[in-house]
Amino acid sequence: MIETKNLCKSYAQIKALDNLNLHIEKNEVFGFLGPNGAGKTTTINLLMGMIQPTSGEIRIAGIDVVRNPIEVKKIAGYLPENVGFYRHMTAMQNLTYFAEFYKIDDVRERIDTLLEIVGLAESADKKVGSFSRGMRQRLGLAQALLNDPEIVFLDEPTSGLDPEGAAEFRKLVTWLEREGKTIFFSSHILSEVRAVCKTIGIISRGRLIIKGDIKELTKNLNDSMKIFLETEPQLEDESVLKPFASRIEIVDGDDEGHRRYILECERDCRVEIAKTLFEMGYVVKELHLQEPSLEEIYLRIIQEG
Amino acid sequence: MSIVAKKEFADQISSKRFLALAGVILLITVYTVYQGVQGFYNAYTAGMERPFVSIFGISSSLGFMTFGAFLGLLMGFDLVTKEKEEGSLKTLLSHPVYRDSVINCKAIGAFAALSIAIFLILTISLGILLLYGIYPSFSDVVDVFKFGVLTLAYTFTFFAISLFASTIARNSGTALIIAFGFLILFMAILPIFGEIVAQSIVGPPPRPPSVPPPSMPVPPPSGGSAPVVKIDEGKMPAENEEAKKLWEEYERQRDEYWKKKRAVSDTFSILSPTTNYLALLSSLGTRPIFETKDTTKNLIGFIALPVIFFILSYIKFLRMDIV
Repeated sequence: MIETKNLCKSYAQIKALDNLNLHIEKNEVFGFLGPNGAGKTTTINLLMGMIQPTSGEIRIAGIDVVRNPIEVKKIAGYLPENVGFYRHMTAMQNLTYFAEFYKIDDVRERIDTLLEIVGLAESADKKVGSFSRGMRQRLGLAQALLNDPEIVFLDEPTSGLDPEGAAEFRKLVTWLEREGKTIFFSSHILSEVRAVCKTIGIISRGRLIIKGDIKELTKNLNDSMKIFLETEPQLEDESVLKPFASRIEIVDGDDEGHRRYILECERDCRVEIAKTLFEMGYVVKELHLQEPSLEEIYLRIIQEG
Repeated sequence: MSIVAKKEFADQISSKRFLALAGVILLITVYTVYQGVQGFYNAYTAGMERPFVSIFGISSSLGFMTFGAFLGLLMGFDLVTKEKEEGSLKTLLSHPVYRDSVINCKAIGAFAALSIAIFLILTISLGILLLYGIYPSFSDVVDVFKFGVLTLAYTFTFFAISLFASTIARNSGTALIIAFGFLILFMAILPIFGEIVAQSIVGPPPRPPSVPPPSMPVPPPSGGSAPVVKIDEGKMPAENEEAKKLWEEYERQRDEYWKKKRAVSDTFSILSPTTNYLALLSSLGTRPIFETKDTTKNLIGFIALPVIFFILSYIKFLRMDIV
């Protein structure tokens, strides 16, 4: 659905984007992660045909974006970071104006539906100048969906939203995914990306460092297996765990002061650990694989990258 | 394309600053038309022919000249910067609309708003004339139409200048300063600069001969500084023959000097929309409001300036990175 080949964008001597190669399938919810200034917004601007690349190719649904930006805009929706509207016009007037660029059969019905979906039906006739940031973001999503797009670009959609607003936004993205949309979700908020995206790409200093399924990335980047363990009663001697783990880390105890352990193992040996502890008279209260968080992966990649 | 133009037009005609400035121009015009009616009656009773268009008067032209320029400037200075500041330009361009349509439609919307304002002001003024029993002939209406077209082009020139300022500035405040900078440049600095350059190129004016003129100089009829020499040929004594030749040579040199000086200063002043507007207005009607001269250069300058500024705005807007 989205494909870029050796995409570059330079501003004077600064390379904002350096040989970006992306391939995003239809109905994929792709999280585009990176620190501020990494090139996320530049990438979206290029994908939407808002700016011209210095070199490289961009195709969206088979359309050459550089040559036919208008055709791409007909099938894409875009929620920019800090989305802006005509402040002297109402939400309804803004959406009606933008809807005029498309051939929509029943514009009024479409706008009413979208305002209902984003929770702004009550504010349809209020001037956008009086809207809070959260309301503008929601109106931004409505304008991005006016043309019932195949692809939706969301640039930092939850920044500035309160927790309730962010949760509502996640629900909307899930709804869009069910509707069969391809979603390009740019963010620096890792929890948001983890909650809604199946695949991610991490960009740093204009270069795509890594791309893939979140689970696969977690597995590949995990050199050693980490196993979390808690027993009842507390272990008297940790040395019983030494045959299984190359390193034993004691983590903070619970309210009663019981110690817990993180074992670094070369393989998943939870069955053997459980059997040994059971034979020694311990009850295994908790025993699970501990995967690195997206935060850990992200920080590691950014630092290495 | 019409979608953006319609919105721009609606935004312009409903904006407070447009309504306020158009209102001021209307008041000035109505007042000067009322005064022009009195002058028209006086000329009529004195048996003089007076061009109908002169009813609008110098003051009316000056009203359009100053407030029309402000109107044009204030209509355009934030058209691009405000949209950039509020983020609406990025939202707009994320929809299937060509970027050149946006800038073209901004100009079309402003042009339409200015046309309506000038049309209404002139129509109201004509209505007042009809109330006073002054009925224009067909050629009068054509002259008033020309007056309207010139005024429209004049205000649009300043709109084009401020639109250009809006495309190059980072924010609306800077755009306003740039636009007013151009206004001062074209209205004041260029004509003065032209005079200075002309003075330095052609040097001081020729000095009159040391011999007294063959007869007493007659003061110039209005405001001229150089003395006009009246020579009574029939009663010329023979000893004055030499003086006559010297004075004739002086007059030739003086005329040439002023012609040269004017040619140099005109090169600068044809870049001034205000100078061109007044020069072209003066050529309207059977009797000029201002002085008469060849206005071809003024016409070229008058048309070229808004075109150049609009082309520059167009190019800059198309190359602008909307980020």
